[in-house]
Amino acid sequence: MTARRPRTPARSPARSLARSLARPLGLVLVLPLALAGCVEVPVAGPVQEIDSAQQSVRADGVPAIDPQPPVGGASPTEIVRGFLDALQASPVSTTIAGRYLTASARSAWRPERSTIVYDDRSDPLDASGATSAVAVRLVGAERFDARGRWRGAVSSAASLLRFRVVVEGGEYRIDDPPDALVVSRTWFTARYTPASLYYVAPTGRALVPEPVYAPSGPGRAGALVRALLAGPPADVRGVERSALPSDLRLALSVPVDSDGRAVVSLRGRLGDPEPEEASLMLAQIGWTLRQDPAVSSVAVTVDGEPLRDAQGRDAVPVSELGALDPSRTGPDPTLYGVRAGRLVARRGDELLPVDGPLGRAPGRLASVAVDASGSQAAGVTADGRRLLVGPVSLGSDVGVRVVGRGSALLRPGWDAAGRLWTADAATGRLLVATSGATAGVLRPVVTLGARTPAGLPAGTRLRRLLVSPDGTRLVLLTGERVGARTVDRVRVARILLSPGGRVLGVRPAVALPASSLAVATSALAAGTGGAGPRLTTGDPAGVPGDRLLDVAWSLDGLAVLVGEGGGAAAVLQVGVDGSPIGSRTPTTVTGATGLVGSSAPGRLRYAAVGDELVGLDGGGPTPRLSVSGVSSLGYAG
Amino acid sequence: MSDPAGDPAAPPLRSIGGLRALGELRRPSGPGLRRALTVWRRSLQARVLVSTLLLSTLVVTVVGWYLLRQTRDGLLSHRVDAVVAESASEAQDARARLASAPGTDTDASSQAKDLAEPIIARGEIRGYGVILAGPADGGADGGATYTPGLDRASVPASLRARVTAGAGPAWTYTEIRREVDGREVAEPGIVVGTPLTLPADSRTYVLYLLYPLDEQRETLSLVTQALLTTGGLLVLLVAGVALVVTRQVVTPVRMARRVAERLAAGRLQERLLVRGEDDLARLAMSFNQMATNLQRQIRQLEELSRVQRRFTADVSHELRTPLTTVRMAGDVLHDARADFDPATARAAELLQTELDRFETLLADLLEISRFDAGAVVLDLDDVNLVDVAHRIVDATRALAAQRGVEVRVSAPDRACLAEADGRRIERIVRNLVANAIDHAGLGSETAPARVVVHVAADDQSAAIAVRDYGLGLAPGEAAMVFNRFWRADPARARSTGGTGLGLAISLEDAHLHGGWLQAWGRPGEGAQFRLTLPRHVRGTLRRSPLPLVPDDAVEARREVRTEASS
Repeated sequence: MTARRPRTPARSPARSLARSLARPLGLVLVLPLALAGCVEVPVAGPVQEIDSAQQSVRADGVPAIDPQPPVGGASPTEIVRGFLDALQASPVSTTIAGRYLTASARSAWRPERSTIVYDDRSDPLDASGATSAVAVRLVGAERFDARGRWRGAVSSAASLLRFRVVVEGGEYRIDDPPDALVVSRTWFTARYTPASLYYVAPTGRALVPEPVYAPSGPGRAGALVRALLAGPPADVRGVERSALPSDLRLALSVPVDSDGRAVVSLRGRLGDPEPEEASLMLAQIGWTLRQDPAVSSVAVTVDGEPLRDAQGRDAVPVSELGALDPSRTGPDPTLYGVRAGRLVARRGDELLPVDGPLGRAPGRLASVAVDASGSQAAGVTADGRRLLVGPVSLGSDVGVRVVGRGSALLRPGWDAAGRLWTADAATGRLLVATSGATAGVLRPVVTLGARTPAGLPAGTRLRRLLVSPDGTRLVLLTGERVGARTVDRVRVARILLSPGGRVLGVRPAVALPASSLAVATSALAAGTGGAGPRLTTGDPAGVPGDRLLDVAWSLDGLAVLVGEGGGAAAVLQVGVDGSPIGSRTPTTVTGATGLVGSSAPGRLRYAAVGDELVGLDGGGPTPRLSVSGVSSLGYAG
Repeated sequence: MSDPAGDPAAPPLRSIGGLRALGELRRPSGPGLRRALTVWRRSLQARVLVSTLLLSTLVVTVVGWYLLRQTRDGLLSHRVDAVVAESASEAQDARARLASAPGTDTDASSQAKDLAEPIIARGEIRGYGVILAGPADGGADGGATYTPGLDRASVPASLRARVTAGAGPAWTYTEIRREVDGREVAEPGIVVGTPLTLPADSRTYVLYLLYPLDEQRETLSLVTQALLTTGGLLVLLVAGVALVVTRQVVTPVRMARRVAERLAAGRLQERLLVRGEDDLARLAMSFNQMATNLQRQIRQLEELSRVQRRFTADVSHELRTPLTTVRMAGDVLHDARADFDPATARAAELLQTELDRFETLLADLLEISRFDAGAVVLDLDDVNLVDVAHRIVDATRALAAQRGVEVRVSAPDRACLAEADGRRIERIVRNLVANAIDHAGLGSETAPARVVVHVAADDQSAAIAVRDYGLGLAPGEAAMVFNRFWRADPARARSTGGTGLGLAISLEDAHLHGGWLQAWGRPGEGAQFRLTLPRHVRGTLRRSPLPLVPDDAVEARREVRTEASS
């Protein structure tokens, strides 16, 4: 303050004034400091409302359902009915349903463990009196596991749900709820759609899709990642693995922002993964999430640390994940086939013999397959005894080699790794030739027929063999003897590979449930005015012989051509696990005899009807292509 | 002159007393403050300077305070907007994550933890604290997940109450307390509370984001510092300007004051130094002109007065010589009157009488001239007024007896001393007694014809009062009795040998001693003349030992006092 003391001329009165007034003046001049002190950043104040125009979270267009909580004095049957209704809340929530349970049951209840979907259910029936048991019968029930995998129909016994209803706090409450979300099919199909979880083939060079059902809407990405993190199911161990360590778990959910960036926050120990492993992890998550069209890039963090790809990016655009494309299709979109024993390829609107050796000798081949790159072709000779491999076009000095022999070799197939697969229908042996010029000899892997480690019943006739591009799935079209009858089945077997790519064996081939195909046939029968023999819905035995005409890969699974005799035929979509895909309404293609398909997106599927190809994908242009006399028609790979 | 309240000297005295009392009340250090107040009263410059300083400080303070407030409000509103936007986006993000959480998950606590942890991690990077509290609608406090080190009590109860009451998001100011390296740190901040519903238990949790206002505080303190410095410099500048301006104005005014003082002291030749042509220069010019005019007039008047006095003295002197001759001739005639016929003898006697009076008159005139000329010197000695009174009474006894008036002295036994010129005091007393005898006999038939001479003294003064019971004085006459040649009744013949100058000379004599000569009288009650002398010449007279209004006067105390002083 001394600086602020007024300076007066050096006169004694003024000086004495300054001296004696210094203190009061000082007090006055401290005022600014005091006032300045008053203007401080506040540490308290009134509470101010924020005008919150909340942006609505991405809605998925299905009606919201707010279930009714239990009302007082409800009877046991009303409680059970209320519980089953409350499970069908939308968006999915089990909070209200939990209020129908006793306290102990509520804490032990794990509805996320499975989902039971039913077509219809009976009214709750008080089956007891004294013990207050209520029973509900489900009709057409199917089960999905925690990952969302389709686990097939629920047995008749398990379709009868029994609820023990006890009195708690003066009200009836359920004491033993099933650890499942029990919902109707209409509810389920509106809110769950098929998707795939992507795991890694043992070779580490391909992704393997596992079909599941995941809820649509904002929770889809989170549900998929959660299921993915659960790892491959026990029954496919050795067929595929997950690059993601099993102790990782998802923190809450996977929000997708308006830029399409899905942020996957994981918790758990990761250590310091090799770049290849990190890339695999990103590929698994990326491929799994790119099924949601809203997702355009994926950012993965583990305990807050970003997981970077080989280029060091935090967020990887899903469009750049092609390196591990599970469909592994090559660049060649050409259609190939056999006409008059020669390998023909589509050139414009015609199918013309190729320049290579297999296109020159007429009458030589019965069926062919061209590898993914479109450079090599394999063909079974007309007598079915030899398997030839030769270049598709001229310019290669490698000629036609005989890579295998048998008595009735099936149409061969290539996987993306260059392995050549076929089977001998007569002996039931599965044959595989590893790729490369030196290792070009067919080697028996396993016997599929009479002596059957792959789980085929004796007397099974192999009719068609498909191998998935990733080399982990084998689809077999079989004719099997069940008692006195012959039934057709589609079986899927998983291939065991070594990390080096060697085929170690095949797990038992699981038949797709006949019910999946039976619906198709019955619908077909209805479509044709009831003509021809009809299948019993849900016949466990299978489709009567020679009714399954062909099977081909399609985008989501398999396309099965079901014939009803008299030219009536239909194409049915079915998952590789047998689950029905989308609507169960088949596409009727009268007179179809064969299918052309691919799991690669962008390749149209056709049915061969007489001399023509009929598009199966709706909008796509139908090529004006004469397929008269052409067999073994298909894409490369 | 009667009521103290009407005294113009009273208010300043009183106000100073009041201020002093204030000063003493506030602080015991009296002398410094008293000196300061003296300076304050006397120095225009100091007053202007201090007032300017205070006013400019006040203005600078108010302006600075307003500026600071504006700055703070701007800073805060800017920050609040940013914070509200950021928290809204954070809440939106949290809602999106919750919306995509599986509905079948029933583990609310791990869901809350999963929800909070990335927000906490982001908060640590971006510098805000996070508290996810709840569930809030269950009544009891459901615990919280929060940024490590943060004190959960940083969220004010009012905000908690508002947000948990089901209102939308809200914010308020708060003090963020957290622990940094084991130390408790408190800083101002903004806390935003947003209610969220967890799908796991469908209950409301509240996400509190606490944004510190450190940066704003630093900016504000920077601005405060700058404002204080600027304000201080501004005040100093204004004070300096005021100092310069007042010096320019006050210096000539002071000079004028000093010159005016000198003029007042009689140094009429003093003039102001005129420099320039500004207002002050013109004031100085006018002042000088005024001084010149005054000087000239005063000189004229002085000259006139001097000439008159000189004329009187000269006339008196000039009359003495022929008078002496006339006197001598008169004496011869008077001595030889026995030889004259009775008429002539009578004329000689008359001549002698009138010559006596003429001489007395001339002596009085010369005396007055001496007073006027200031040529009177006191021959000082300790005079006992009691002795003087007795002497005079004895001397006038014959006259009194001739008039039938009883004269007596009422005096204490001790001496009443005053330092005075004994001859002049005797002349005053003689004059008063003679005057009293002169008028005592003219009283009413019933009134006793007597004259009482009172004498009294105290430490400071001595007084002598002559009381008669004659005709008395009419109202207003008490002040006029001391005028030269004044008569109470112009029609009344001068019966005694008074010249009309006696009381005037007495008054001059009293004044010469620094004393008072005052008269009191009422018609029919007689009169009293009182002479009060200081114990020492030039001593201060405050009161007289004798009352001016005699004790025996009717309504003595209630009577309006008729005082006459110079």
